[in-house]
Amino acid sequence: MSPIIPARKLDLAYAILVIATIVTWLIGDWWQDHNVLLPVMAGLLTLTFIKCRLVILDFMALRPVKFFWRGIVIGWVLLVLGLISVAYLISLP
Amino acid sequence: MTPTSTALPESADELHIAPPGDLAIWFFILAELLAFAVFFAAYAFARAKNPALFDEMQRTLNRDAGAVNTLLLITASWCVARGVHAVVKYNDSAKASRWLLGGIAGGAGFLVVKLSEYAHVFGEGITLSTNTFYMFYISLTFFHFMHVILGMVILTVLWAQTRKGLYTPDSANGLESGAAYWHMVDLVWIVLFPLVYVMR
Repeated sequence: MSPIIPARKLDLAYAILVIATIVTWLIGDWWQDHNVLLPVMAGLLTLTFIKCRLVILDFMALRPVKFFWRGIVIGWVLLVLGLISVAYLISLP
Repeated sequence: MTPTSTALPESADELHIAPPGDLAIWFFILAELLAFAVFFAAYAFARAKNPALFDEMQRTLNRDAGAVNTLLLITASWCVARGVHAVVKYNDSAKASRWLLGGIAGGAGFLVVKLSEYAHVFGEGITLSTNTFYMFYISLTFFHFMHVILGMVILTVLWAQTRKGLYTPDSANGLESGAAYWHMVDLVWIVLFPLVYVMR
């Protein structure tokens, strides 16, 4: 039998994704005129991780699947965001 | 196909050994994710060498278009997830095909917005060799654009198959595999948008 994520969970994930995207959008506008670097970057990466996790667990339906599969895909997100963080820290004045 | 009268139990608490869909599609997805990871890391480290150029060039992008595209892709992903749910839980192909149509509409909206962005960029005379930022912007977003087109083809096939009632809760591998690919395309854009359009 296929893994089934409850519809209400899919709807909740969608609502959170929309809100997180709008917040990311607003951060982008605000950031153009402000020189605050690390705290905003940390918030941006956290939001991105939350969004990716929701897509992986609920939309990809990996929540009820053995940790190995969830771990690989969430591990990909952590690896990518980690590399972006390292590169960002290097770029700081 | 007529929906079954009793819905199948949801399995949020039950542990499954394998991910939904064919195992082969997951190996394909992981290979694609690896390719995008290399691309993202290359962009981030290239930016680290010249943050001033990247920040200046980023101001020339249309961030609103990028955000709208994120909303379109997550909406499309949600529609596809609900379409799969309609089949595997309720065996309701008619409802599933409508959800998939919503997913196709979201993907088509993404392509239209992205094409308008490209029209503006190329209209300004910008090419791959304009500077490092635009070399990455064009190649990275176009690589993703091609994945969206492939995803649209897959979704269209799934929609046609679902309309014929070819997927059932016991035989939804094709539908789940195509859906997993589409969610991968969404996942990649969720990282790409803040990396290229927002990060300063």
